[in-house]
Amino acid sequence: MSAAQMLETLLASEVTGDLLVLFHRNPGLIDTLDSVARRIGRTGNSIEEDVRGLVNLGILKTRRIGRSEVLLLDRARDREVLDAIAKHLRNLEGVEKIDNTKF
Amino acid sequence: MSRSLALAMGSPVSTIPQNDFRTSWNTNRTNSALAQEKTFSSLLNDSIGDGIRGALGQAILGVLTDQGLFDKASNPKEFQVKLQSVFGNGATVIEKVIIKDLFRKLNIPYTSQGPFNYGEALEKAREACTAEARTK
Repeated sequence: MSAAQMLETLLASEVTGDLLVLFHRNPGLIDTLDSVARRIGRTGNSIEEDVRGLVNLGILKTRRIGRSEVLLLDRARDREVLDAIAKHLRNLEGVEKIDNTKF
Repeated sequence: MSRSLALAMGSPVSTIPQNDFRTSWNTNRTNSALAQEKTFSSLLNDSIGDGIRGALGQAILGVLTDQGLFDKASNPKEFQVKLQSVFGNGATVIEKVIIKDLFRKLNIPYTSQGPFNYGEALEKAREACTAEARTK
């Protein structure tokens, strides 16, 4: 997956934005889907699809604890994704500068 | 010492007419408005930084800062154009993250229902900031 596609997944919706802020500000958070949803003022059903997008990207991972399935941040993968996007944005700026140069 | 006597003696005299409370009141009001604008601007910059860092991390915030994102913060339209050029459709998500952070700092309740307008939300925050300054 390209950095542009990863960025698109991260900013797919207001919910993904809220989830990113929640997990980045609380990197040790381990909680069920419903509880995570409550923390951002939503219901489990309404965030399921956005959570799946972040799980597929690898930023969030799931783990089974007893009977519950919990969500947590994969810090290593999160850093990897964000660094790749930062590099992409920096390169993009370089390309724009070249495009704007008058020869 | 009377004003004319002071002038004749070369004493330093304020250019503000004496007893003209309106002039000094207007000056104070202008200074106060400038101070409020400065406070709001600083609060907004904090929310832009905290919001983007919270959603996308320090590395991406660093790139955007190098690209002059904060130079455009005081002009919502230019700021939105800049965000659009970097994030495309995702720009609205970042705008909402910033506004939520700003509203939280100003104790304004945020509701996700209804249409979102970044400029209008900023105005609401500015008014709350002004109202808060008046009560202090």
